[in-house]
Amino acid sequence: MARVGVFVCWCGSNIAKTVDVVKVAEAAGKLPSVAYSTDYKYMCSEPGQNLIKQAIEEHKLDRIVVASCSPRLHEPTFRRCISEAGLNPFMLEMANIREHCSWVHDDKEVASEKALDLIAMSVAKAVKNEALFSQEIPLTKKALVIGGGVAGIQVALDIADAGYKVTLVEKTPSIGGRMAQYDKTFPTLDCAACILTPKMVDAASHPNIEIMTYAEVEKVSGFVGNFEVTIRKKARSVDMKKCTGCGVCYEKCPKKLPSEFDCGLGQRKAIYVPFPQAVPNVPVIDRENCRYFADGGKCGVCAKICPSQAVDYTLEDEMITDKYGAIVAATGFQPWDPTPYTNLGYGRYPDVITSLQFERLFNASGPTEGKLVRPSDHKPPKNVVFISCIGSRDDEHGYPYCSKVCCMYNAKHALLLKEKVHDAQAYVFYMDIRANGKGYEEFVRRTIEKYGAIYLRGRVSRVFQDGEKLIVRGVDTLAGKPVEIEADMVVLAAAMEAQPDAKDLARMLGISTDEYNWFSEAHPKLKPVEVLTAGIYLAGACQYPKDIPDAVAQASGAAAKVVGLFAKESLQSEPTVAEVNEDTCVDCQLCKEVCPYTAIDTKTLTDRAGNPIRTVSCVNEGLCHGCGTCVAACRSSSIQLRGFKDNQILSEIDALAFAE
Amino acid sequence: MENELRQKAKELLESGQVKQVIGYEDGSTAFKSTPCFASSPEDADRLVWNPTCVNNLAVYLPSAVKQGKVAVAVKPCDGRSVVELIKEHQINRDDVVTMVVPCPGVLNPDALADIDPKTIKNIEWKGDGISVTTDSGEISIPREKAFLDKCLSCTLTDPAVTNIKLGDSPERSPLKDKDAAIAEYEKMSVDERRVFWAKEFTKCIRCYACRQACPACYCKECFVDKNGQVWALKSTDPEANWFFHMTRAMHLAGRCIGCGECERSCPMGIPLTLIGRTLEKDVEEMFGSGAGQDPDALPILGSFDLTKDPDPCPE
Repeated sequence: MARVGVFVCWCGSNIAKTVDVVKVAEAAGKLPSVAYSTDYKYMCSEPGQNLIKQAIEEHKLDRIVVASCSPRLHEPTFRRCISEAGLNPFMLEMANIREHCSWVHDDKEVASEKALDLIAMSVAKAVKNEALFSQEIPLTKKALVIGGGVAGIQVALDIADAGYKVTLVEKTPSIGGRMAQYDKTFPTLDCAACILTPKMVDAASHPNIEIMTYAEVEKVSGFVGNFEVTIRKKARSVDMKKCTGCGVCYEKCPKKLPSEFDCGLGQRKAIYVPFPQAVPNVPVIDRENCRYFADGGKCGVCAKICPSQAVDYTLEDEMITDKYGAIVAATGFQPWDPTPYTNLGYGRYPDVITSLQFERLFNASGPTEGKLVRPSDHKPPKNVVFISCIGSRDDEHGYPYCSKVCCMYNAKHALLLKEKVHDAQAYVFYMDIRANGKGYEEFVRRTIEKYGAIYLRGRVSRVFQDGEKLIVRGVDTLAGKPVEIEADMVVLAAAMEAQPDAKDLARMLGISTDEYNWFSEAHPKLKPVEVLTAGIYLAGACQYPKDIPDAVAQASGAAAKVVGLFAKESLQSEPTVAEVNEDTCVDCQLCKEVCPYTAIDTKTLTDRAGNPIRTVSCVNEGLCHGCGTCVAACRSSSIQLRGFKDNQILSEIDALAFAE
Repeated sequence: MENELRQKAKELLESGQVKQVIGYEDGSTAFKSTPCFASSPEDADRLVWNPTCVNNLAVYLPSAVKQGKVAVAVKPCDGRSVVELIKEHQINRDDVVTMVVPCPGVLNPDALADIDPKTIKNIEWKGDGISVTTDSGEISIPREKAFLDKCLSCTLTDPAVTNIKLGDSPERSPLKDKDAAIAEYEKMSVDERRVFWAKEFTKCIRCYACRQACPACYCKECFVDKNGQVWALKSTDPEANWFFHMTRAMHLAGRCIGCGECERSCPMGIPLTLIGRTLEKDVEEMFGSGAGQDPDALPILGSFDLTKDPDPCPE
């Protein structure tokens, strides 16, 4: 026979003001199976908890109902309390008579009646409670970081500094990401390379970091603490151990191609390093465009010239499978292609370029070695028009969201333009200036006031070529007048968009994406680096457009989460997870198909000789979040949620429906 | 046709390709055939194919495949049950050989209402309808009277899991709209529907024939058979009956292929296909796909994509 103790909390006046706690506690004492009941001013306080512990001992209570606030607030407190008194923590039920009762009612009599009903339900459920136990789950203390941009590098460094092993996987031949393409960074105008490349080198030389460039994640299985990941290392065609990075191979390579790193403004070879400070400084052969691979082995210049015999055309893709305890996605963004703005002439006029192209044009390691010139005639531009919100805040052509960084880099570009070409004039068409960051607004004001950039609030209707000039027609809505500018160059602040393969990675990781394919965080405010799948975290712009400080801050946040996870000896599974009744399961696998956490798999039951009998579902307790979707889907009620089994729920309903 | 069916069945059994062939054989009377489980080439001679072959034989597959590979005679409608069973992992595609029979429609027992059953000697397809041979001669029954309602509106082609196609598909155009019955039903107000079903469900004697005849009801233990503290009561109270039928309907939503076996097997004449068809129509309208079409499709409940949720739950 169960012996339930009921503890009614006043919560100061929060509950006691609207619920007659003394009377309710008295009435609760008369409920079936209740052996003891009392009330107290603050049940969560130390004397309150001692009261519960003493009562458990004195009255030999085996189940406890605390009638107080939401379990969200104090369930962990009271579970700890009763377990200190020797009970299984899952012998606790909480009746929420605050949020569900006192806070939403005025009439004391009615509220007290309802409070008693809620307590009666909890008592009925508590009687059916079973002791539940956590399982110990092993933990591999090694992290996988996907994406080697500034966010990924920061995550890797922070985790590695805490003493754990990290694998940093990067799709392109070098780490560095977008930031490596930038010239200077707002609002302090530090040179991007000067602050990034030391970090790249730190990552490469860190004893706890293994960098895999030119590699992609191919398959992910498992769960928090125990992911199994297969990584495809694409054939580099250059032996990383032998290569000294001398660069003779790409000097002599006869095949020239537009450079992705320079946004098509410069050229690279078929064997190449994407940029001079690349890490690792080992070239890669772009096999699709290499003459050796196209002509069946005729060219071979790079192999012949290489002083250390590092070029190896026979290398093949390599598959590496390893175990990881945590995964951080830091795959970044891609710049949106502004071609849909046909009125602005991008792709048609050579001097209409994107902001990233502009960035490469005045970068010292860029295609013009830092001389700012027009792509068409290599003359320095005088009048440059910057147009904001290209593909951002624009449902029609691009995305409704704000890309967040464009206002700032427009100001930066307008300022740097004046520094490079002293008699130049910058015009910035904008919708609103969004400069909310440390030193940001001041920076924009400096660009306008000290560097004379002309800011025009309005959109551009059309850009067209007239001789050597680009005519920009727009509107200055503050002056209420149409504007026409004779420009030498037009720079489009293209939106940030999710990586084209973001959705595929999300599917692989079992995480969700929003309607624009940005990865979804677990909670927009309180869990911004977590996702709904335990053990997977987000860093940088793969979640939503971010500038460098935000990306780095989130990266350190993600690293702190990983380090926090790894600081544990092992993981404890949450025992309130789904459980399959193998006797009645018919293997329709609907539970598996509806599970949002891929926590359900099938297993084959065997007889004692090991012969297969039939297949049933089984729950991976490490992956299950206890959401109960499978329970609702199962037609034969063969899957139940521990702590919320049918008989427990039905008891609650009966207590309410058949109350006298 | 019947010879072709027997021949095929014999080949499959002789060569050992299948352990068993499930088809139809003559029943105890000339107006009923009964399922035939042929496990030897000689058994195959008992197979028949005529308008009285009404049963959906897919219902036997989940247990039959446990003994080995099975060949089954299916009408295009029943073939869709096979698709569902594969989709729901109850049978492996490789464990079943479907022999799709050409079906002009199957017998509506009401068609024989005016004939003394004892005098019936044979029933066969003839022209558009059927011909009934009795002691006193041959009676022709036209299509609109001869066949079940589902047959009169049938537009089905060979199922997606066809292995062996017997004969040529008969040329036929539907005589009825398949939603004619529910169009009438949908005219009723919610209150009228409540009254209608209250009356129908009062008739239920909880024999569970509907469940046993249904190829989609393959649970080892039905929710209604559970013991202890349970959601569904076993008594024949109108509310308990209602609860059983509505829960069963929900369990079949998106999975019912409309074979009509539930209604045909109901001894109390409850119009159960009306529930199935109404739900199926909703599923088709809301999810754009019906049951039994693609063996690789995800079940409706499992196909939910959070990112495409038109009304996401606010955080």
